[in-house]
Amino acid sequence: MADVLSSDPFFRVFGRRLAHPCVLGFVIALVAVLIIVFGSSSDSHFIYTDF
Amino acid sequence: MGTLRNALGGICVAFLLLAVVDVAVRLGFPRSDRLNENFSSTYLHREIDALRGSSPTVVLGDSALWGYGLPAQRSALSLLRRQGIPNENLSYEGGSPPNTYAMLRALLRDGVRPRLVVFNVNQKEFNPMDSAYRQLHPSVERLAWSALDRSERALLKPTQPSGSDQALQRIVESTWQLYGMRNDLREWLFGDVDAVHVAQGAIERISGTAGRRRAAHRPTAEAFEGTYDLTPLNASDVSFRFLALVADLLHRNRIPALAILTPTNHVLLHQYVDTPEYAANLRASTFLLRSRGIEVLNLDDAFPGTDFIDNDHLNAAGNVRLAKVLRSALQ
Repeated sequence: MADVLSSDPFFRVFGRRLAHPCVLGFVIALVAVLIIVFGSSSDSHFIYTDF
Repeated sequence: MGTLRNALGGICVAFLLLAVVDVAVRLGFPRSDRLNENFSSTYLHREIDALRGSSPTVVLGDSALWGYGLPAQRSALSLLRRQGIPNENLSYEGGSPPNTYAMLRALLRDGVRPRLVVFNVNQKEFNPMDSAYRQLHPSVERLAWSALDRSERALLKPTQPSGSDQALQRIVESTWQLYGMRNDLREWLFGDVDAVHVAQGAIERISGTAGRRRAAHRPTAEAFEGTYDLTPLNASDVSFRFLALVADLLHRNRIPALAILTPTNHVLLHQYVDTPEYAANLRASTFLLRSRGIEVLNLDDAFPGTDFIDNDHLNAAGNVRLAKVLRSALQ
């Protein structure tokens, strides 16, 4: 499997860079922030009831 | 082995970056003229923390003082602030006497000793059918529950589920500010509760659904049938009992206070509120407060029908008028 991946030109260019701790950490942090920002308000505190 | 090392390194970098973002949120998240629509307990704690050790004029109330239907800067309290009368507006949609009491207890517990407390008394909140009659705002409940006595808690209906997952969530929220303030962050970024609501609102505006809904949403007297309970107020009413607790707490702590009997649209609600029973309940509230040394400003029938959006929410002109009345009362 590793041989197949390493022979893939896309993996050779991006896969190794992605595997770098700094890039990996940045991606994880970015995904976490995006989930929080664009998450749903299903846990909304809103209780006001209009007529 | 190398892959594992990279993965662990990646997690460490992610934690580091999230910690940096968290520090930025703690330091940089703006304070607003009033609490946002969907404020979290983390945000409220942050607001109270900012007041610690100071003696501000604190406004505690419901949507009428919060400035429902208007941008923050057009609410009466914001107008007052711009006119040189500083105040901290901690009102919110869903306020009521139990909520005012809980907020006051949380403020005192956390070292805020107001120079003056301004709060409103809305007759509709003495109705057991009102959503805030014996329920605290969930964020206030989280923050103030531990400040309440057991007997006071017993009068209230908790909204927060308890369990290990809730306990875990609270721990995460208290340590990770970004997560704790996610609702506040979304509202600050999108001007709505979340991105989905923004997209939905845009689609409704384009399709004309929003306009049609607004047109169909005109307040009519019938819509408020049952909103005002005209049963004589006494200690059996939980909300009225909390009003007495608010008055006692202020009196005991020698905190000067001004209670506002909420402006009510008597033109719209004539058949429900222009009755001897409603007037008697107003007198009962006034007597209770004055007997504890609290000044009462009766604005119940002080505004014309054209100043209202609905039963008790003032429009922009009404808020200007309210600011004027409060200005002379506070000066």
